[in-house]
Amino acid sequence: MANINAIPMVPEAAALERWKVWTQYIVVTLLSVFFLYVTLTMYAKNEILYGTFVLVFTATFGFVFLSEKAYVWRYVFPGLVGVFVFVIFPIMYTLGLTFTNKSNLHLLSFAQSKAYFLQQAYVAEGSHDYPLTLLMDGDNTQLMLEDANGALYVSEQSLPMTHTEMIVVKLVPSDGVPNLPIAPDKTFFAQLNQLANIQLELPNGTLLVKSKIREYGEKYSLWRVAADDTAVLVNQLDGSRLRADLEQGFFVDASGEYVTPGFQVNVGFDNYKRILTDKGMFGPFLQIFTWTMFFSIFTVIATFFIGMTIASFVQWEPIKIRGLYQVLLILPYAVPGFILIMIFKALFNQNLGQINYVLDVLFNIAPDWNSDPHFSRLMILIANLFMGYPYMFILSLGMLQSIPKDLYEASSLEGSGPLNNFFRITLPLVTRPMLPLLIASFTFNFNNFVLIQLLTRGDPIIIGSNPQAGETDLLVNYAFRLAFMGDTQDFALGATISTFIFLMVGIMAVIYLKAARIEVGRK
Amino acid sequence: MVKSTSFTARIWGVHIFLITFLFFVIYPLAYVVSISFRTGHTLVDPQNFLIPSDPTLEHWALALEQNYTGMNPLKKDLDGVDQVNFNNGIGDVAFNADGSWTLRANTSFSEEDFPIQSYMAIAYLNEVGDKVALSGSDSDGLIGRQQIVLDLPGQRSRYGPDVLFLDPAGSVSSELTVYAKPPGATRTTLQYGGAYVSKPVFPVLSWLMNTVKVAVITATLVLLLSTTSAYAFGRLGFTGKGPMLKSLLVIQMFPNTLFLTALYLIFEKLGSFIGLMELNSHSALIIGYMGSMALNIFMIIGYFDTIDAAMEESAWIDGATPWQTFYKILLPLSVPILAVVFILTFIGIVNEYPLASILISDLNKMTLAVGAQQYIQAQNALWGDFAAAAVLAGIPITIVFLICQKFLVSGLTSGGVKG
Repeated sequence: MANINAIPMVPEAAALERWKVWTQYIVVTLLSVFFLYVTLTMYAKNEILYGTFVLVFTATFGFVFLSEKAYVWRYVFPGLVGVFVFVIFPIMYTLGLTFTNKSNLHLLSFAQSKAYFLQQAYVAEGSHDYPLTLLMDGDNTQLMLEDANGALYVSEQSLPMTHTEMIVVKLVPSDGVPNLPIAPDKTFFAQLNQLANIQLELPNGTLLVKSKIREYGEKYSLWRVAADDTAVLVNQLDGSRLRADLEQGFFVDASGEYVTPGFQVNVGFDNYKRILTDKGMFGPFLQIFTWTMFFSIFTVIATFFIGMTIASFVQWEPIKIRGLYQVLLILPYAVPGFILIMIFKALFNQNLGQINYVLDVLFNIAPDWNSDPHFSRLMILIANLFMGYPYMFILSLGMLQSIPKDLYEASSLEGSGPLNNFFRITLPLVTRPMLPLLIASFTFNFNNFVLIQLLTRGDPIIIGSNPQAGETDLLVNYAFRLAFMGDTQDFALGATISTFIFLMVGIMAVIYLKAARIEVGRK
Repeated sequence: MVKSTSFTARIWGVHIFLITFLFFVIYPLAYVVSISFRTGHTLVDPQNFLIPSDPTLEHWALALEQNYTGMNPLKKDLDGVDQVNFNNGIGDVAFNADGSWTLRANTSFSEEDFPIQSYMAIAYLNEVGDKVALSGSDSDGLIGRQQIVLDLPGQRSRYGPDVLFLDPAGSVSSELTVYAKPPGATRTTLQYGGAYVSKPVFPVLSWLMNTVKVAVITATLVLLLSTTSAYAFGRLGFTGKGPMLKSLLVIQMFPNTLFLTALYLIFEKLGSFIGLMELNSHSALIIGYMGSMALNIFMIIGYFDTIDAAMEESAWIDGATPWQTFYKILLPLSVPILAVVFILTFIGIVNEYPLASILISDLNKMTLAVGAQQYIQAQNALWGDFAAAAVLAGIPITIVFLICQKFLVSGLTSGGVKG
């Protein structure tokens, strides 16, 4: 092969036409301006981390696409950014999460949680009520209030009513009812949450909050920060105090009860400690780990064996309709996985499924595929063999064709049978080049989330596990269950399980690199 | 060469083994097709192993987002009553003991559901509820079956004289002959068709469109970005190339399922600043898939290595820029591998479940992999509807895969694992 290093690195500037250069400058500048705008909005909303990321990205982007020195990087920059933003950064983010207590009880930062309390308001007794009318302005809604003297006020502009956080809307005086249709009663109920999240400001500066379904009243803050301690909130109505517990991530009242919403705090290695020492977690964790290892190793070996066996049969020359067999055998691989898994879910249905029907008719038995852990696992293994063998079959076909035929001729002259050939010639010759692919297959099955999630959702539940863990959960499903399926949505705990898997995958990756190099050397 | 008997036996042995194996491989696939044609959502048909004993196109109509007009066989006992009043789905029926009856149309069907069918007949049942056959009974065991059709007034001429015609504002009267109970019968029953219209619950065609849209755009972008990257890694020299390639190889082993939480939180955050990355949008999903191209880069580099660089060098000498050599010389030579990458990515995205399930929650925006799960809820498993939607979605993908099989096998051996 020719020496590719002979290719010069930087193109001759003269080769580029002038208008192309200008187009390049204009496009890059416009995009940079857009990214800078995003950066600014992020800084404005106090998202320092993300803002800085976008800023660095913008600078790199501008440099790579404008400077001739970075010419080569233009080819790899978009791909690398994709890998960084959607793989590397999320991995680091996950690692970071493991040191926090982030869950749906602790979603907000301390400042946001505090702000939530400070925003709570009450309507003073005896204050005047302002009846509210909603007016329809196309898809938007306009608010109209009437004060004690019968003067009318309307919101400064119509609102789309899609907000989810508290907003303050300015009111302006109105001479009469605007010429808009009055919203029906059901609108009040449809927009209940949005209305509760609106504070109205009269022209004189008085703030109003919603007091009844269709009335606003004058607002007083329910909580204020204590003068002596910024971590304490004082209730304006009854004088009770809430103290922020910076270790647990909750505000605590006088009786020691936690008050939601909690906030996110740094908990160090607590999550790791919890998994390794907590009775409700360590047992299930070990059990799930063992099952995950068994599942992946068994799948790789069994699918490899099945795939190899069938491939040996199919490529045997005296078999005339090899092509037809091959297409039919690959069929399960061509059908989308999410369909196959659901078919198995139907076939294995405990009460109504075809398999139990046949077993019942033939042997008068009906295994508990859905609630007995052993049978559930057996079902998963069967389904995965079905879905996994065609890949090994395809690989084996390719490998078998590369084995020189004269080896078999020589061995048959010596009187060796087909079984002997398979174990003495075929397997040893094929296993080594297949090794990297087997490792990749192991890693894939170790993280075979979709199979479990669609087939059993990890059920049945392990008795005594707290938070809940499933008998058929793989580690990755356990992490998902902790983060998305439980009542508490414990993102931090889920991330910690993921970290254990990162470790495992990392080890497999190193082995893979080693094995792959062997193969490269052989070529 | 004389073939020994043991050799022939061996060939037959292999055939029998492969056919048995294929039975277990093909059966589940045939099974789902069978369910899609069965009445109701039954998983077991005791009368037949595969061919539905009571076939219907209802699930298919619903999968294609069409209303389906159907009829349930229902019955009323006539023994010892003077008059039976009921609603048969298209109107109120008053049936007298002497066999005369009147049907007054009373429907809320919309015009596109017409025509709607029903029928009236008599049947005699024995003590276990089976119909007793008489000399005048048809193949279903019904006697004196009268066909009724509900349609717009203008359509009257389309039906023959043996069909009772009913328009949405009208009524129809007729008479059935009620005989004495034949020997062996214990009940006299009025058999009638309960008309109904089932409407599609899920937007299957939208899901199919969404899936194709997301998969095609993703595959195109992934192809674009991984080809340019592969060109730089394979043909151009730059510092850090080797370690970077190795890191990519390691990184591609981490599936995104492991950091779904982080991805969700990132999209939630970035989505509030950049419209393209909003939760519940296809663009966010497409962008989210952009991290998974490392493997493709390797496949393409491997292919580039088999192309002689001499042609590119001569282009250099003639003054072409790197982009021109890439675009005009290398790319046209690499079409086979580009096709492989495109199809593999396409299939991968169609099959992708985890990211799509957390980013998309709006029913109309779902992809098939996520949408298909909506049929099977713990309380209410619509297996028939699922099967029709699955077959509808699965057939084109399966065919594409089988057609491109030869190409794809070469790509698969370089390390791709489909889920």
